[in-house]
Amino acid sequence: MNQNPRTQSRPQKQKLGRRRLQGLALLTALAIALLALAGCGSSSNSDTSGAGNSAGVSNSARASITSEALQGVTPTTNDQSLGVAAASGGTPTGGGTLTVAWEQEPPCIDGNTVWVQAGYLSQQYLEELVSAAPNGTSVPWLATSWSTSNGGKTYTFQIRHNVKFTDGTPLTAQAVATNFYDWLNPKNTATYNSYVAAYIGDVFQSAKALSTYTLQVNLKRPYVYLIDGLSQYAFGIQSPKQLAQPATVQCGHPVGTGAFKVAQWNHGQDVVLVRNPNWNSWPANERHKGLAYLDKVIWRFVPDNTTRWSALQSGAAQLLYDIPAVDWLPAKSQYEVLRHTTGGTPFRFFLAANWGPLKDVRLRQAVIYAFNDKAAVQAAYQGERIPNEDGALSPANVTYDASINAALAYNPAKANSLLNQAGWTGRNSQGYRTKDGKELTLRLVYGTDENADGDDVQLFQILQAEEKQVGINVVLVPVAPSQFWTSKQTVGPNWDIQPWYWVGRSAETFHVVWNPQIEGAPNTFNATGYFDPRVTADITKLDQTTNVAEQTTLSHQIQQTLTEKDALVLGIAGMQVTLAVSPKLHGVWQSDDVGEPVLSDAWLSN
Amino acid sequence: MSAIAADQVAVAAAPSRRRGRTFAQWFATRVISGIGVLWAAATIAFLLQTLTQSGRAKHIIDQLTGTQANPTKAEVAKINSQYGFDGSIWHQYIDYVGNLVHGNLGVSYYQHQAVTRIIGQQIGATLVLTFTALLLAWIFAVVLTVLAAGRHNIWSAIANFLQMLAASLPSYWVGTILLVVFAVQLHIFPVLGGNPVVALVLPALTMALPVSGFLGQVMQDEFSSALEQPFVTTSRARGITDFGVRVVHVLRHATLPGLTLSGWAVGYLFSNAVLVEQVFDRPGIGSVLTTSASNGDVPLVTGVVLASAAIYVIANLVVDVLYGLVDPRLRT
Repeated sequence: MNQNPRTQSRPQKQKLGRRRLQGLALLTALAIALLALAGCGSSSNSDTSGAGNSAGVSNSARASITSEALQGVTPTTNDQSLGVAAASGGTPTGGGTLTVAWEQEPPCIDGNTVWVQAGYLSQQYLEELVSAAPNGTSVPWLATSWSTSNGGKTYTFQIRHNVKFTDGTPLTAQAVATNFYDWLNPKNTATYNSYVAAYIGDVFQSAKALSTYTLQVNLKRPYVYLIDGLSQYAFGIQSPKQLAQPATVQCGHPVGTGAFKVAQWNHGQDVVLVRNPNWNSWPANERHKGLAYLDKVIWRFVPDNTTRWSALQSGAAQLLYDIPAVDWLPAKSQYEVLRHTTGGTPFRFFLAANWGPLKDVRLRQAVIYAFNDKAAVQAAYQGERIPNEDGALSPANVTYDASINAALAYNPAKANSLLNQAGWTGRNSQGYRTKDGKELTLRLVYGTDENADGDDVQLFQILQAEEKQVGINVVLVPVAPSQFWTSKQTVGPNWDIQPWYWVGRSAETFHVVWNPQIEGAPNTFNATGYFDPRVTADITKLDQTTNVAEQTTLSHQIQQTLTEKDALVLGIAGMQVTLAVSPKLHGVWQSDDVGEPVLSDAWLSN
Repeated sequence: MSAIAADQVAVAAAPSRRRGRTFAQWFATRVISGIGVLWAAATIAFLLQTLTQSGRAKHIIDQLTGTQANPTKAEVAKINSQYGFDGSIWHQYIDYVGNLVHGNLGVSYYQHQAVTRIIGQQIGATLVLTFTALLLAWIFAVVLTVLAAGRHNIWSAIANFLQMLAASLPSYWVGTILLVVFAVQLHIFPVLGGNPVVALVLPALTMALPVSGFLGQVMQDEFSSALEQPFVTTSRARGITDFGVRVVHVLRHATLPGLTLSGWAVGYLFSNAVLVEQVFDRPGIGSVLTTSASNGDVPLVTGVVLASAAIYVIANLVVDVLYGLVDPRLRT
């Protein structure tokens, strides 16, 4: 009934505290220098290894510090650079080994493992047809241009010439067509891609090569979000030769066209990437056109928060993924910090509309008005996350409706009056509301580590306290990870409130979550199981219009229906991908897709 | 606790061999009982997975498709036949045990690799860590015992206190402190990677400290009572130095309870490796177990359970054999 973390972003996992170790800058720099030297020493690119400069102290800001978005402000800048301004570092130098401290190791590292934790990694060696750019736009990548015809039902792509997969197979229109069919073939469990299926499964009709480099994609009905979909990590194009291999082979041996290629996967430890010496297919928004600067990237899996932070502090790693809330301020004071607020939905609660007390829309609205989101998010995430009460859409989307935050703002008086209207007027000895002798109890069911971590649970406890103020008894029901997918508690009618999110790029998230059906089967991404025909009608129109004003109107309408009218979702805060960057590392930026680090522009100074 | 256990083992092992059985017979019995333990572990693992995971096919489909889907009967039937869930429970059990006998632990649902291969890749690192820690624990325990046990002075009291402290420290905490102090602050050891021998020091130390506390405590007890024995007085009378008496004569007595405890310690260390490997970001069986358990990757969980049981059985077998070597009275 819910999104699996494999198909959705799970960028946050904050657990433990860490030390702040100031005054160690010298030692740190020394360690990094040693590491960089070691890296350069082993590199084949010896001509550049000595050419670095010592400009690491120059503080001219490469990335300006954009103002942090606040609640109620119009769409935020996606790619934010916070904290210590990045040192320019001078002229980029080639060579060196970058160690990245990432969190979780995916079970497979090929493009068919559509979990976002695999996506951050696979973006280093797989490329898409188009590249995500700011403000919901897309720019050429493996497709140099595209056009639509047949009333928006046919897309024609010109595929880039002279590109080869790292196994030597040439990139052709036919190779891309093979990817489409393999993604959408549920019988081929090695290549079936549930993320792609959720986006285009019900509109895709055929893909064929009109010539060596011309690809035609035919849809069953017009769908303007196809291009947005194609820019996402799960749509990475793989060598057709590799796609024909059994899952056992594909799992650890992805073959793409990207800036790096996988040299080795040391299970339980790291994935070693080396520069693809023949790379020529950089996207139009690549910041330097040319081979990756780095010789090697060690993508290290460091699940423990303290260890990951220590790795950055000691200089063993130069790039850290996911800054825990407790270290947000120290990280900002010591490092350049990158933060990407992802598109799609924010972190939000589904409110069960098909069963239990919340079947009454007034109760769902009361739950929303009784929750002081702004204060709760500040307390639970310590300023790291941006509150967003619009549970339907992330503020990173161009069609985000900023007025919803004000409309749904904390209003306990209104919550109380709605509860009174609904007949929950009695009170029991503990102060909870009752109706016909029955206590107003709501079960907040969440999966520990599956869809909620320590900081999230803190937020749930704040929600619990705030709902108590209006007489609602929220009971927290944690479900162990091993039980989560088979637990009866996570399916209706055994829950009333459930946290979920869907990370995407744009308003196509409505299509994914709120369309009643996906490929002819009931859409389980809407955990509430409640489908408002008004929303369905608006989504159908939204899927087909290219008129920006109309898109905005429709999107606002859907957001208002889902939040204010139907009260199916209660927004918490934007989903974010945060990175802390060592002063020795330059040029890293986050993709506008889901905030993956782009390492082909990155370089290390000595 | 283990002094008692040692006595029990001694009592249990000794009479049986006094009835005229050879070492080979005794050894064969132990091997067979070890296999019995493994069989029991395998059976329990099998029952847990079949009885608690009623919707195994649905679970696999959910993981494949990324939703809590409502799969059709045909889809469920396909997965059931693919993974052999459609036979009777006896049929499945016989298949399962048959596969185990042939060393086939199945294929991981999500990593698409043979379970034996996944475990094979990771278990080496965990074994190296476990046995290095055990060795370190023995060194600490023996040194402290020989130097301090049975002396009624302040040093003995301090040693005793340190051992109790070590025994009660949680390894996750010890590991984090060692990491922050020696790797982050002092830069003596690497946080990640580095020379494999150097990188082994902090994690092995983390695991060795509590075990050395336990070992030291039981050895110290035995050591102190052996010091009271007449043969010690005799030895001293023959002019052997105090240190000589302690090392040559008394230590042998004290190693017996230590050995008994080591069988337990291997299991303790092996399970603690789960936490310590995470803190020091080492490869190993720990992360395999945690991820497979939370994914419900049944073949892999079962495989890790069996591998752990096997190591425990082997360790205890080795301890029993060493027993006879240390105390010749048990051999006759």
